[in-house]
Amino acid sequence: MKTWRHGLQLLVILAMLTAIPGIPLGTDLRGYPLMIHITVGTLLAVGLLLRIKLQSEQEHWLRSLAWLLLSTGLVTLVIPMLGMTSSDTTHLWLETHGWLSITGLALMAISAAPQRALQEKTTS
Amino acid sequence: MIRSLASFFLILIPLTEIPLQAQVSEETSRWKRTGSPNTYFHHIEIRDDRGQVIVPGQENGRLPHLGSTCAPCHDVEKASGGLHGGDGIDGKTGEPWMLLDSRSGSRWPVHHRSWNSFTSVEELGLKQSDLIKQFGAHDTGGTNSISGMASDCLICHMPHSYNFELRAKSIKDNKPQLASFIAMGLSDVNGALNPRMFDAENKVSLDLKGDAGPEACLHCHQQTPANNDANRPTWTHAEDVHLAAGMSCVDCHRAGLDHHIVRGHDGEIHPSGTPVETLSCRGCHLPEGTPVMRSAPRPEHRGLPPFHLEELTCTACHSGPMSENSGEQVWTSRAHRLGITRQDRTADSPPEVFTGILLKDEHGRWAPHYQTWPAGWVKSASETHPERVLPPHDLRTSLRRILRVRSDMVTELANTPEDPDRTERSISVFLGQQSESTAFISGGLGWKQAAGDQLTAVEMELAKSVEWKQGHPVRPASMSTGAQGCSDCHSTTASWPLLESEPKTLVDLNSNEAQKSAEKLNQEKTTVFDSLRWNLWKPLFNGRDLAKLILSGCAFIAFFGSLFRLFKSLDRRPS
Repeated sequence: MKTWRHGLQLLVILAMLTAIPGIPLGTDLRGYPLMIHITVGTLLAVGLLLRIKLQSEQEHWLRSLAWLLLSTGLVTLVIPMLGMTSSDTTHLWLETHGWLSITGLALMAISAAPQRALQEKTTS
Repeated sequence: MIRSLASFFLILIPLTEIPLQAQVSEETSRWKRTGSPNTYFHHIEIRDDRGQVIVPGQENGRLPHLGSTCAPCHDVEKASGGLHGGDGIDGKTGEPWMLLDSRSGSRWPVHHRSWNSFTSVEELGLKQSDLIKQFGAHDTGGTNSISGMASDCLICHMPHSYNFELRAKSIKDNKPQLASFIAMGLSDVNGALNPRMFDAENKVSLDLKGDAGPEACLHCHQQTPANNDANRPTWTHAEDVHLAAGMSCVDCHRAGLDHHIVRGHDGEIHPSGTPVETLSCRGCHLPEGTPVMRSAPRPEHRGLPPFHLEELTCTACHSGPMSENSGEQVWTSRAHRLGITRQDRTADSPPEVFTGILLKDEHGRWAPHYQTWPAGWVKSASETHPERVLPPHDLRTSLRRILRVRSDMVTELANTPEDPDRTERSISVFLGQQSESTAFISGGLGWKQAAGDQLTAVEMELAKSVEWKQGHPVRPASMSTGAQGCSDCHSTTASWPLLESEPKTLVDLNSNEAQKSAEKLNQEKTTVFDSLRWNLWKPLFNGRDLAKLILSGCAFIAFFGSLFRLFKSLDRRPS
């Protein structure tokens, strides 16, 4: 279970790293970096779905919030992808996707200590 | 001291304003204006070059003169200049004129503006009479136009009763100064006025318009598929969506009397200094802030990743031929003398002009281009000289003497079943009698003499293709590339973005040496697109809709699941 969770976290970090060519703001990912990012993102989406089903252990609310932000980030990407936005507003949706994902990752790092404490408490 | 200097300047300031005011008042008093946007009906006298009125039957050898006829009311000098008259900044590359010389097999794209890869008039050693004969029919004239003829105002401002073919014929018959009068039926080839066109006051009535409609522009700015097959099964509606909507060319390509016609591209710097950004595609349809043309549809491009708008010009999807016709050969007004009746205009009529070739423009964006390939005789580069064109008329005598070419080099030297190497051998023999640096250019390659009356291919700058951007005809959104989805471009069957035109060589080369050397050079050429990336992309678009559905499903379930887990975590939190 632990390995599986670490694998998912690794995918989140990988998704962040592959998004680096999209910096600075206003520059969308394109070309090879986009292809890699989408591949990692697709695996992560499936992972997130499986997490709901498979993960049974207790979670600290900060960690849950982090996963929620990452999932919301994914939704903000899917909406323009489904053709529900114009090109002008697509930029905003993509930027929102980026910011939510970064916040989610940051929160995941912050929640590491409380999560560990919660797990130790639960096992003891 | 300072006070006296200040007083001096205070006196001087009003004095400097006097000439300026005088100039303005002179200008406003000299030229007549109705002030109304309605068409002014021209009921005028015809004048000779000295401005004297000519009466039919009493010409006494005097010829009608268009400039003098218009001059009493219009600033002809100003109207003869501008970008349309060949003046002003060069700007981005436009359509070249094509010098075709069948006797030397030459096809040179030429322009007086310093545009990359076009041959200059000086290099070709053309005299003014040659320029008039070659390009005059489709040149409206002007201060610095290619032909150097005086401006023919009527070709653009007379929507009806102007016979374009008669004009072309008059120019061919060496009567350029009478061409416009002959074209509108006012005079015969000798300059005698047609009395039936004049009324009792010895005046003529002319239906002249500031905007004579698109037909006036299309005399010289037209393109049509070269096969001209009326029964082709694909849609070839040539009409631009703007024209179909009732607009006119000059609604966007505007100009004042100075004839600095707006070219309509992004970042255009107009010679007048007037901001003309709103007259480009993006300026009108994708304006930042408040739209200027409120009726112009604002495209939403739903589902289109926005970087497409940074990487592509609007014309890449909305202009030129439909993607299935990209790369086809077209005739253009200037290159193929459209509007003049001919029996020998075929799909293979030179020059070959290809359309819808996707190349990067000056802003680094992909845009459809016209493309053509030069042909002719050149001197290769040396330490002291760059590659240079050999003027076709300088070669005629030697071609006739050595190869017996009389009127059409390509036809007369064509291979025959009895002599399958005739073309190659003839060119090789001719090159052998010229200096070592002489080469023949055709099919995107230079050809030099090789042993045994053969030719060998060499790479030459002058042999490279020349391109200019394609702006029209603009297709409506429903007919644009991508209207049917991403797979219009991103599919295993769509290949138009990788399209390159294939030059047809004038010389049919059969020897091993020629074929091997040409093959080697062609293999070294790289495509303009990163085809590896493009081909990697393609499979990702197979089943794309299903992938979107799965990804969306995952995202939404993950979102609601995470929300549920968050509530659960908050619920378990110790109070």
